Amino acid sequence: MIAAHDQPLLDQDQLDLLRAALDPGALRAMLAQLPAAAADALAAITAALAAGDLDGARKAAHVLKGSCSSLGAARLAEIARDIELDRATTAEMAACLPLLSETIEATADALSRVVERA
Amino acid sequence: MPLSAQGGEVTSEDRILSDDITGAKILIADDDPLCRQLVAGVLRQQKFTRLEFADGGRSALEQVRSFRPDLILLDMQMPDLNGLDVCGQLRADPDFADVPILLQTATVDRKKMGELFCGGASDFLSKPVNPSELIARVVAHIERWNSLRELRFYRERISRELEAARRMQFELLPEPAALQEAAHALGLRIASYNRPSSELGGDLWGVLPIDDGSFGIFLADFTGHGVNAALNTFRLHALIHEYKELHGDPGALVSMLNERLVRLLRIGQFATFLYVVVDHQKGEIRFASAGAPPAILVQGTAARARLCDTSSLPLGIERGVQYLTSKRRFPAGSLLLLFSDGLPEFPNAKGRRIGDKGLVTALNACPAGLTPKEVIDQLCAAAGITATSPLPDDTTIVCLDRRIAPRATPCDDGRAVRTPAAKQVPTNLSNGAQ
Repeated sequence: MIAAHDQPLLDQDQLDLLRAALDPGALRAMLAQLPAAAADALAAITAALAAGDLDGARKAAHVLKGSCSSLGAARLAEIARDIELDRATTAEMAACLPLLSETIEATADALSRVVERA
Repeated sequence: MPLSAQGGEVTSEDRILSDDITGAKILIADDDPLCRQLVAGVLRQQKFTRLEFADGGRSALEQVRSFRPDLILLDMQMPDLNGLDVCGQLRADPDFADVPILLQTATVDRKKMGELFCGGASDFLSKPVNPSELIARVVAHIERWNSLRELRFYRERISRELEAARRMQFELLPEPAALQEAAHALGLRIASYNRPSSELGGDLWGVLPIDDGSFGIFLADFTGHGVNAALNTFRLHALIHEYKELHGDPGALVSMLNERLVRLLRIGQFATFLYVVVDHQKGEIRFASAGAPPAILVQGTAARARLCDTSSLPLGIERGVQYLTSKRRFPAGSLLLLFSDGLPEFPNAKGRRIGDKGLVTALNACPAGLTPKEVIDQLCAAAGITATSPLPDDTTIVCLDRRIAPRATPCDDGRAVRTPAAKQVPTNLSNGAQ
């Protein structure tokens, strides 16, 4: 988890690339959807772990990693990557979930400011 | 806001994309709706409008078959079927063997990248999505795809047109079965061999009915081969039939054809031409040549083959040339062989050419009693030409003989044919050449 903390909450370079390439309205809509999509992924990982489905949890983490990294949510992407690739057991994965939940909230907050500015 | 305003990077926004590019159909396959939305947003901003989506590998396969995209963006990891598997299945289908497939992957592992290309991907897209990279790769692959498709359409159209032209040219030649039958009725046997070196050739031969006792046979060979030479064969065919009154006079016909072709042909284009009147009633042949390879004549069953001297200028080179008619006996049992230079000049496996004299030797070595077709087969074999040999030049061979008894020769149905002298030269003797 130390690696995740090292990541900035948002990847400003990636957000700049997106601003340059996307219609502002489309970008705002996508950024606004990200927290809900992340919350869905958290729910999916939680459910998979409850069912002992490690593979299902990894897949949900993989999807979360993809959208978060592409939309500039760097820390969320790193936590998702950690769950997908570095955690071997249900317990290890489950241990990541509080931080994941907390980071979703912080990211949502940061993104709402980005969306307001956009 | 262009990227160039932020750190000097060049963005694809700097370039206006043509409708040929932005009109391309693109399938975006990703199980993450936000990633699909992001890629689509970047493409739409560049005016790409024909986008379709698949939320997994299997639906991607279905969509490809119904949507028939010009480019496919596949996420590497999808839950039901991964991008590489989808790519493999599409490459196995001839319809999609060439379509650009871009695999999106977060990997930087060199071995995995190698597998991606080995699996049939045209290119990769890195994750997280870099909009400039996405546009640059999509545009490059659509441009390549469009060029490939245009080239393919062009080649298919040209092939179709060449095939139509080849059929039309083939129709200028006498129809073998009808010719055989008509010749048989005159106490003659005839066979021919005609193969262009490419789709279209510059050789042409044909038969011209003259009167009850005679008919004409010609063989032309235009310089070069291909479309130019083939078009000239159509011109010559029309000219030959324009001068019907000269068909009985080889020298006059060849002289007239020369006058016309000198005016029609461009510098550097010319034709060798041999015209023979076979007078089976008188038992003679009359011929005139314009630079054609010499005919080979065997005067009777016991005679040796010899070349008929035919040195003269080809058609279309010089105005006012008077071509002379030569005469030879053509008694029962005789054989006449006409050929274009593709036969004597064919390089065999050792690069050797049989030449005119070699053909005479080969003809003399033929066992007695061969049919004209068998003679042609023997000569081709002697020259080294097989059914599959690529020919460097158009090759035509016509062999005619009087080695069947004209009377009481059974036809295919068992009936005896009439005396040739009493029978009109059937119009189908020149079937296709009228």
